Amino acid sequence: MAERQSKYLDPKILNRVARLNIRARTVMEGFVSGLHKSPYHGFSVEFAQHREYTPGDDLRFLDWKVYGRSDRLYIKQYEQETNLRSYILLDASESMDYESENGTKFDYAATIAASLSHLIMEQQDSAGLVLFDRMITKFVHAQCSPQHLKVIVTEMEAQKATEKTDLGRVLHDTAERIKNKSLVIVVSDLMDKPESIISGLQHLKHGRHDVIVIHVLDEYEARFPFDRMTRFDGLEGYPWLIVDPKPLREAYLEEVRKFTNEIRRGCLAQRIDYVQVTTDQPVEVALSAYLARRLAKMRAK
Amino acid sequence: MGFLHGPLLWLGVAGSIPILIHLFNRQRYKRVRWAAMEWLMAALKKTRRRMQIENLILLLIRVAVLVLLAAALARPFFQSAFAGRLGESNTHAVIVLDVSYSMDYRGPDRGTPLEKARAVAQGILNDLKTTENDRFSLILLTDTPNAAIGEPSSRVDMGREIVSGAVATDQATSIPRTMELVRDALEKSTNLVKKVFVITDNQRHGWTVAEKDRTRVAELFKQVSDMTAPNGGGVYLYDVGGSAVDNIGVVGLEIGPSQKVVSTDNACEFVATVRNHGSMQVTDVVLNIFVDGAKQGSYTLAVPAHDVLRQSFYHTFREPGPHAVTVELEPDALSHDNRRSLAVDVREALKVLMVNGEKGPTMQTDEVMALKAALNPSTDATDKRWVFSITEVLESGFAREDVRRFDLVVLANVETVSPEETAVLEEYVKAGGGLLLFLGDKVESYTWNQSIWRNGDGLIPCELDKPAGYPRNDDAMKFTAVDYTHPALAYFQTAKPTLGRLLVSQYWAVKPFEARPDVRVLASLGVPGADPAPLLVERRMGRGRVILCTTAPDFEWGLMPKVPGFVILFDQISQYLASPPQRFRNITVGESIEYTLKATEFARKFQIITPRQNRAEISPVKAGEHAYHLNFSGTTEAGLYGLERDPQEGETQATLLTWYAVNVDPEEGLVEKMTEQELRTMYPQFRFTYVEQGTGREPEKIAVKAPASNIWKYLVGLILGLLVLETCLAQVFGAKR
Repeated sequence: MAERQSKYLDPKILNRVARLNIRARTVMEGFVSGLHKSPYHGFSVEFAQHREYTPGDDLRFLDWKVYGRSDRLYIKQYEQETNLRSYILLDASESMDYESENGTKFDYAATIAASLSHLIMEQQDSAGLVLFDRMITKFVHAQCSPQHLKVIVTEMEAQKATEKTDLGRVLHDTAERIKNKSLVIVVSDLMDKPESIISGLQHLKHGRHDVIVIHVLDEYEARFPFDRMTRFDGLEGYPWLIVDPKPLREAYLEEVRKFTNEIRRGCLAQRIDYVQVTTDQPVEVALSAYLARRLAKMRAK
Repeated sequence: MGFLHGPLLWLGVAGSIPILIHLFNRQRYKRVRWAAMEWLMAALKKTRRRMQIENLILLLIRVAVLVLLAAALARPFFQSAFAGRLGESNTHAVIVLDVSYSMDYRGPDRGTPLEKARAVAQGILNDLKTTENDRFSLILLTDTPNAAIGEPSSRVDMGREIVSGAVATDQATSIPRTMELVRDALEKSTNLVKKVFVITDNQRHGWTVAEKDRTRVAELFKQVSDMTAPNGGGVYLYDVGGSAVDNIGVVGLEIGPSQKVVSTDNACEFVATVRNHGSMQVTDVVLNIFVDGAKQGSYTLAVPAHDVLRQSFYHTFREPGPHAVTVELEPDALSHDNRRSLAVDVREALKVLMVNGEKGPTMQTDEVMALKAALNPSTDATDKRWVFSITEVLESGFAREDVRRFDLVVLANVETVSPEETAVLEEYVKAGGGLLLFLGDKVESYTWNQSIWRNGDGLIPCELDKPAGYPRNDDAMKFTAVDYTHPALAYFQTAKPTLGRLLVSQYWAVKPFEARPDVRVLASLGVPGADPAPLLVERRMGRGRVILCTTAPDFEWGLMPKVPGFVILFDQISQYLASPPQRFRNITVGESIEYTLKATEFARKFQIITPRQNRAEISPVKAGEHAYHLNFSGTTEAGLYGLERDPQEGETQATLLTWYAVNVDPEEGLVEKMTEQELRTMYPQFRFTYVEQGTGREPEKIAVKAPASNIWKYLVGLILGLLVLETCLAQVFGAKR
């Protein structure tokens, strides 16, 4: 099991992430702390503010010291710290099974998912996993325990990427199933209609979830470096095509730009983080770069 | 449109190479699984049409380059007037100028066909555009044609010079032989258009060929037609001859028919033959006689139209050696055939070596006694009435004799002839000697067949079988199937009974032998109840002749010596065999002079003296183990050629060995024309344009009709342009990608 875990929970990656800022707390703080701010102001250990007493308030929270000094009744309010719930939606459709030189997109995405799960749980937060292709194939509720990480990793490893994608539908389903505000991290190649994806993301956002989209592309998909006659055998039920890729490259890259811009704009409009990673990038570099950006953004707020 | 090198068009299939490469590349693809098909298909949809058009343009350019390259190599040309202006003239004109002596016929208008022919040839040369690609060859038409300019040339000035300097030779016409040179010239030609201009008086004699050669000549004419046919070429036959045919000429001069040897102090008969080629009888024709350059007399003749007249005259030579007899008519419209000469070798006597195979005391039993008596009955050595001087040896003494000293060798009933003796005899005969072989009871057939017959390669053409006939002379047989046309038997044409009284009782039967050109059966024996048996068989070998008589010249095998006919028969045969080969001293213009040297003369110097008294040294050429020949091939004009041997130590002046009489071909004097229709009937596959001068059908301009042949240059330019375009387009299209 330990060996199997290591496939997606690469100690080297985790170690290097740990050594980086995020992995060395700051980023992790930014990543997790920012998410921890609870909208529920309860009476917890950390003082938040005073407010004037109104009839019906619990007298236990009256600040007698203030009353003694100013003769006014104030209620002490405490910021309630809650555990972060996060769900990682991992695309396991057939298109994720594509690989060029650095392993399949699924493996790359799974590594990201496992790494994030590990880090989230390290913060004593809970992490869940949603595996999907054209529908949700596995829903692992968010928990925080070392055993739970194993469950997540095991589920990822057991997944077979054979079906078509229907990401929009999956996002809608997810939005319906996660009732509490959560951090939803979508790790996918987004091989679906942009409008459908954006619609799903909107639904998630509507459920007050914080959403991050990590768009995984194979380096060949991003660069299209073919230069001789190639037969492209389409995945997910697409037919094969024999084409000379050279004259097609520009148009293809234009299509990629067009798609990603559309997704990016959709995410921006929903205040959703959109991160594009390619499989030739080291996972830790890709993650740390993003987390650094996120931390800076959170601090600016 | 046509192509100069049509087969190279096959290279055009190279135009399919870009298509094949394209198809091949489509088959050689890498296979990948691909997830982002949506984007790929969208990109493809967007670019497919543009890519197809761009690829099609590039493919078409590449195909066009290769196809145009093949077309350029095949050298296309166009016949249209527009293309004619676009291209350059590219014609090879083979000009055949008749310079035979009939072209010197000066008709009533005082002009000669040769003068007209020169004008036509100059016109053709003027039409050539040699600054471009036009070339020409110039062939002088005679019976020994000469390619004055055989290789295709552009040097019109040289051609004009040769044409303007062309004069009528003493030679006859042979258009078939000339056409062989024309074919050779055409084979060397690389020009697009090939035209042959034959400028001749179209004399009938020039087209005449032996029946056996007719097929070959027809095929030759067809070849020339086929070679010139493409691209607007052709054969143009310019008839520059006039309509007049009046001409009279000497067509023959020979020794009288009864005489085969000219000897000193004996009146020798000569016969001159004069022919009137015209349609009007000619009277008062003066025939002058010259001997060794000195006029001996003249005759006034009347020659009927289209007929010949034979005029005999006699002359007695006092000195032995070479002499020349010439007859000459007074000038007429064609002078070349007015004169004829005859070289005569006058002998004191004909030396005969008789090898006696059976010596006997009487004429009854001796093998050569009767023959000796027939040829020279005198026992007085100083008696000059007889032509033959006879030396008799026994068979055993034959090997010691030098046969080259004799004009005739007779072997009579000789038992065997050794291979060495056979070799000597063969060399002797080939050099011009005469050999008369008699058989008899002594003959040993095995050795004769081994050495003399030698499977038909030897001196006799037939293999001896066995003696046949009857032992008693009472049953003797007569001559039959006599060839009276043979010179040796021509005498008996008017005296057949004389020959009929010759009787033979025994003879050697010979095995059947095949007819050969060099073998002739002169007479046979009428064998009762069987086919005639060959009796006199001649074989020509080299310059000499051999006659085999299958019986013996004695009384044991017949009764021939008993009758006068025996004397006449063997006198004629012996003169025939021993007479010097006059044919080799009397030749036609263009033939070679040949002379066989004695073995001791090979180191001497010899000169030929031409009719214009020019001298040319000639060197001996080895022709056998001990034989040397002299050869001179420059007999370009008619007349007497002398062969002199330079003086050696002890001599004061050169020695005239012999005269050679070089005469014109008398048939050339018949200036009758061959009509166009006759030619087309005679050679139906010979395609030509007949142009008769003075009828308005003038020579066409050569260059004007020449099709454009340099289209290839434009094609190469186009190919280069396409290559540049292809490079630019590939760059532009590639940049887009």
